[in-house]
Amino acid sequence: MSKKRQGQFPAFRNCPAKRVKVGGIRCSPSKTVGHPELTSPAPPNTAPQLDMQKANSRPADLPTSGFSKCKNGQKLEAGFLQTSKSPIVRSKNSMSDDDIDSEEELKAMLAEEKKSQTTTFPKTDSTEEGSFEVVGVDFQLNPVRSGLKQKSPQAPRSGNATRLAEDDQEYDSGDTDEIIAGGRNGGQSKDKQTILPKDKSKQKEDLLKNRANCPSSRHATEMSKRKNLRGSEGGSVSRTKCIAKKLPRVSPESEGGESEESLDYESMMSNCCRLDLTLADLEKLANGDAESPGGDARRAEQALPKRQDTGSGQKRKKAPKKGARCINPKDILASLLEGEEKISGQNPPEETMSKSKFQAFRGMGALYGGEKPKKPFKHSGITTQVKGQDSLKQEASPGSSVGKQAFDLNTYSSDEMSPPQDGKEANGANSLPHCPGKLPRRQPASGDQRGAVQSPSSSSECESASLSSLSSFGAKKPLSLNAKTCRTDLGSDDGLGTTELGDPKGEGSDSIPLGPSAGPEPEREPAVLKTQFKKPLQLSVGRDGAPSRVQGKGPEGSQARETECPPSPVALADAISPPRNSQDNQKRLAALEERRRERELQKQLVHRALSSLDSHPANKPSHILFGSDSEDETEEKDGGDKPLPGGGVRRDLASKTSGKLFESSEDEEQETDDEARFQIKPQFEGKAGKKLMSLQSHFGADDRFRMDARFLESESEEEEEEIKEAETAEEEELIAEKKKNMEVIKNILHVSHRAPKLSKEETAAKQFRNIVRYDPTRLDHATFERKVDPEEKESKAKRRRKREEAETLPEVSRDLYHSIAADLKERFRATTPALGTGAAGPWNETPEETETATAPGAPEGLGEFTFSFFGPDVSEVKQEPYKTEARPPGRMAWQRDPRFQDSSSEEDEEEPAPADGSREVARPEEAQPSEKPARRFFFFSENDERLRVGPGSFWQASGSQPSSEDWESRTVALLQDCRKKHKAARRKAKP
Amino acid sequence: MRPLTEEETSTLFQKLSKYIGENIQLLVDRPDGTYCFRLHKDRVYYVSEKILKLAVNISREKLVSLGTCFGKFTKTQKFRLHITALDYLAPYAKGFGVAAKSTQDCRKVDPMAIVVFHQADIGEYVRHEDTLI
Repeated sequence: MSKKRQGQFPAFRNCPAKRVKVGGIRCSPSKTVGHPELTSPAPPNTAPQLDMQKANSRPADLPTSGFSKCKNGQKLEAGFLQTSKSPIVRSKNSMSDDDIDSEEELKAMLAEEKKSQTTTFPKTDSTEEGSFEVVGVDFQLNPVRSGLKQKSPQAPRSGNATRLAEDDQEYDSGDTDEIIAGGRNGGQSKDKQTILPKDKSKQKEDLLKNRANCPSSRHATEMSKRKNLRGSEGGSVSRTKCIAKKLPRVSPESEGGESEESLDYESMMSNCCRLDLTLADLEKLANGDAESPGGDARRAEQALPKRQDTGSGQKRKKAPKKGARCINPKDILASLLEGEEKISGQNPPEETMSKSKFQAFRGMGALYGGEKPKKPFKHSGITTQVKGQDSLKQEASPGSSVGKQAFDLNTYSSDEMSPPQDGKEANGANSLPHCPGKLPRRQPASGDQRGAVQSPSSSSECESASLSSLSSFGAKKPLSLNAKTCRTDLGSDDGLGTTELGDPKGEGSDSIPLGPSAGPEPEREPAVLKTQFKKPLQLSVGRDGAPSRVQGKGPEGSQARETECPPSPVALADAISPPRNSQDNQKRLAALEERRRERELQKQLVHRALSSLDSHPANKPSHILFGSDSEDETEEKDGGDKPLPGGGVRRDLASKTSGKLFESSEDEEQETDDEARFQIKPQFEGKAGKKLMSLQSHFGADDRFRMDARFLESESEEEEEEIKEAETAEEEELIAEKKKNMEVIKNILHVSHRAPKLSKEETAAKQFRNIVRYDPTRLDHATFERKVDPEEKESKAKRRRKREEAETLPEVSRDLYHSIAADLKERFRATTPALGTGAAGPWNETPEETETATAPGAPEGLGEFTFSFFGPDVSEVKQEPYKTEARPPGRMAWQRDPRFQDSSSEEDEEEPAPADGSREVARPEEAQPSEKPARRFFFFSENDERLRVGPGSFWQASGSQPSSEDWESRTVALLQDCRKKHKAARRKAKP
Repeated sequence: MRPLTEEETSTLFQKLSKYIGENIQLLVDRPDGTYCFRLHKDRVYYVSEKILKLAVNISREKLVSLGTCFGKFTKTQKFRLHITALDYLAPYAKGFGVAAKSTQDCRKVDPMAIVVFHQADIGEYVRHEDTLI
């Protein structure tokens, strides 16, 4: 698209003064021009453009492979880019010039280019029809330009930081002017003669590449390149691109021979198909196959439709992008990203471009108008676009990418920068027509293509093409890298791209003549531009307004290139912006999310802090209000509620606490009251209590007259006394009962009342246990010892006294004395002869015998000797006691007690016998005294019958002798009876 | 419920004296409190003073029993011991019957011989558990 615009710009190229002036002016004319072009050329160009795109993409893959190899060495890539750029730019320039002239002219140009491409790229041409051919021609042309460019760009690389200023300055620089002038010349000449512009374009491309390496320098170089491209190299873009592709493949670093490069490029293109297979292959190829691009191109051609091709192409593009921008990896990455976006956007435009290849430049404007509505490209295009992108990428050589980048830079700078930029943009616009078909196809989705378009529109289209090719390579890289992400981005990009798509279509129409060469270049270019301008892109984002202005100016402006240019920058800005925007948006979203999170965290923290703070104060008042108990409760509640952040909870708590406190207090009071009510009031108990109650009832419930216990005291005492009396009475009754019972017991048991006393004594005896045992070893027990010594002394004394007393004869009363008569002799004399006769055995004889013995003697010897204690009284004694008198039987001691006589009849029966016996005894006694009145000895007289009869009274008459006899007889009888009973018992027991 | 008359007390004590002898005094004169005999519905209850005071609050008709029942007077005014008195008699008991023969004789006595004259029926508690008071 932008290329178409750039292709339009070559008009500006014709007027180099405008270039310098262009800045803002370019945009307006480019837009104006671009729109009409876009509308018209798009449809017819589509078919050939597709072929061209395919061819371009395939060869682009090849160069990409070469670039990928080159990627390893950025310098190499840069060289390739530069070399490739030059032819591309040339082709672009030619394309742009053709576009400017007319579709027919463009077609003619395309045919010429195809022829040249066929010569250069026979293989590609065979497979991919004219597009390859065109590209091939461009590529051949490019290396020459790249060589030219390389010289110029090296210087400007100096300051990256001061890009804008430098860009401005660079634009102003004489080199750019010269380049532009050459580009213009070349562009014009290139439009028909691709070769010449190729050299210029190569030079420009080199410059662009160098610039791309150093963004600041890039801008300058790009601007210069654009100027050159715009001015001179309009239609050589495709060639330059092809050359650029070839160059990197064959000899990336060596930018010398354009023809060689073109040849190599053709071979590379043929090989590209092979290379398209995979990224790994690309890497391998990049590492080792730098020398053998042809197979890769073939591969790429074969695998063109495949997405892998796209990916590989992207990768390849990436590689060249890196090579172009190789200095700043960031830029490379950005370019890659942009390239991807571009690819996404490019695909639809490519299709359209394929249709409007020849119409590209014219169609750019028309495409802008027509393609914008065509935005659906996204849908149908994405796949096709991808393929087309692949082809474009392949087609777009590193140089083209560089040119694109340069164009982008120029466009951006031009948008922002002002007139000089405008001039550059115009160049870019001029360049755009050169490689419109390619660029718009690939670039339309991405703004890079526009930039690429613009770049070709600038002085030398070939250069722009190379730049575009370079950019496309750069774009390819990002595409491959960001392919996945880019797809997503594609949608967003598509929106931008759709607007852009219109341009690319128009460019496609423009590019159609340039065809194959231009196609790939613009794609690569925009990528490169993007990559290069990643930083500028950011700037461009703000600059987007400028391109829009330019677009707005475009319709106003007369030149279609200029009109195209502005849209391309817009598209560039848009395309760049969308990825960036998308990235930025993502970043923004991420930042917003982070901010939100932070805010949330802060809010949470604040909530927590506040909640803690609020909760405490909310609770504290409750503490203050109520007693310690309530405080404790509230505290506990607070502790439990702390986790709850809400203030409402606190309020609830406070209310609850307060309510509970009130309730609790009320309850407690009520409870206490109730308890007090139901408690028994001692003062109202009893009779006195009744009185108090009656008094209290008089007073009612008046608190002032409550009858306390104080009023009770005296009365209560009386009651107590009464109670005590009652108790005492009861006790007395019980005691009385006890006494009665005890008396009854006494009566029953006949036990004296001592028993209880004894029991008491027993209890005392039980208590006796506590008595201390006497322990003689203890000194304490000395108290228990009796003092024996004084007693002993006393006893001794007593004994002495006793002894003394004993010794001392008792005093006999002298009043009493016995006078003994002295006539003892006579008394003993008389008795002595009797004693002498009976002296032999008087002691052995019983007294009775003695008495008996003496008794006979005494009567005989009464006269002589009478020894008896009662001697003198013998006569008296005899007379008194021994007088036999008849006494009653009962009086006699030895007689039986009368009771015995009464006890038993037997005794009574027996008694008469003894009585008779006693009488009988008594009779003999009476008879004896009567017979023998003389001798008596101790109450008995000799031969006293009483002695004989007496024992009879003690012995039963029958019991004495007959008892023994009876006993013997009885025993015998008893034995016999026992034996009989025993036998009878045995007889009974046996049966 | 009323205190025993002299005749009733004499019969009661005579009966009790057969089993605990002079220990009747210990029942009447207790160191741990005042106990007394009360007659309620021809039954003699051995009651502590506390329970007696509490029982006073209950009308005679409603009062079923109080304290411990020692026995009852028959309509012929003889006294029959109840098994419920066993707890108070056991500590002082000499025996639950009148010994007909000495322990020496009991060893050689014919198995059908009567050693103890019936005075208390231990089986009574089992047979009249429900009616015993």
